[in-house]
Amino acid sequence: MGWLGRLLSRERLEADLDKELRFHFESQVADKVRSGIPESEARRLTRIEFGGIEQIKEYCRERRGTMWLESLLQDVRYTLRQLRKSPGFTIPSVLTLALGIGATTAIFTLVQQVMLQSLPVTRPDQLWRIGDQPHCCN
Amino acid sequence: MKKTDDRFDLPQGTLDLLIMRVVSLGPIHGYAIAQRIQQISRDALQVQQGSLYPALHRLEYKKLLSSRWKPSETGREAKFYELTSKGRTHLKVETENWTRLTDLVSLILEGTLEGI
Repeated sequence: MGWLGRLLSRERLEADLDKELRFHFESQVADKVRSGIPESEARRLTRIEFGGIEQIKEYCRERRGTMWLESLLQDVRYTLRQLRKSPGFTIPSVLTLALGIGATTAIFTLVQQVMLQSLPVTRPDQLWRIGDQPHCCN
Repeated sequence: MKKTDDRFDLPQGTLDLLIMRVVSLGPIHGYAIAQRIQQISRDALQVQQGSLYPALHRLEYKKLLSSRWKPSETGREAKFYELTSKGRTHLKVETENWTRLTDLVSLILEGTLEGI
């Protein structure tokens, strides 16, 4: 399974990770109980020995090599949420960008047609205009 | 690794080696790996979950280990790890490297340093 596969089966991996650590935790508690410690105390001790279970999970997640994409997606989602929350900022920004890009594209299309593109003939550099009138060739 | 008077930290990379060695003895789950390492080292080495599981998962992603869910000795389902053939080769090579390295280091640390 490559990193893409691991990204797509993220939910299963998360469930497995949780199950695996829980098994370790429960086994450790069971061993303590077997050695004569009362269960509530055994759980407390095991929790202390374990440290932060979320921390361990986080270390394991880093090994999957999909963290960069996951945090990127989180950032994108966060951005969209923030934009939706402040329409007073979002709408003018979007309009400005839309108008800016639209106007630039329109002008460029014009310049491209009139000034940049050569005439649709085989050798446009050998084309000559003959005569002294401003309008010809209509 | 927990560090108290008679326990010590593992040098970088040796945890992978210890894990693979223990796994090479047959399918085994994470909890038993930690226990086995602790037992064999007579409690001098304690592998913390925070280093064990990331290492196991890294080895699995590198295809040195494979894993399977099956009932453990207590009846609960556990994730059992096994060496792949790639892992077996890797363990052999790394063990040889380790032996050579430690031999050389002790040669220098304990030798008489003749010929300098």
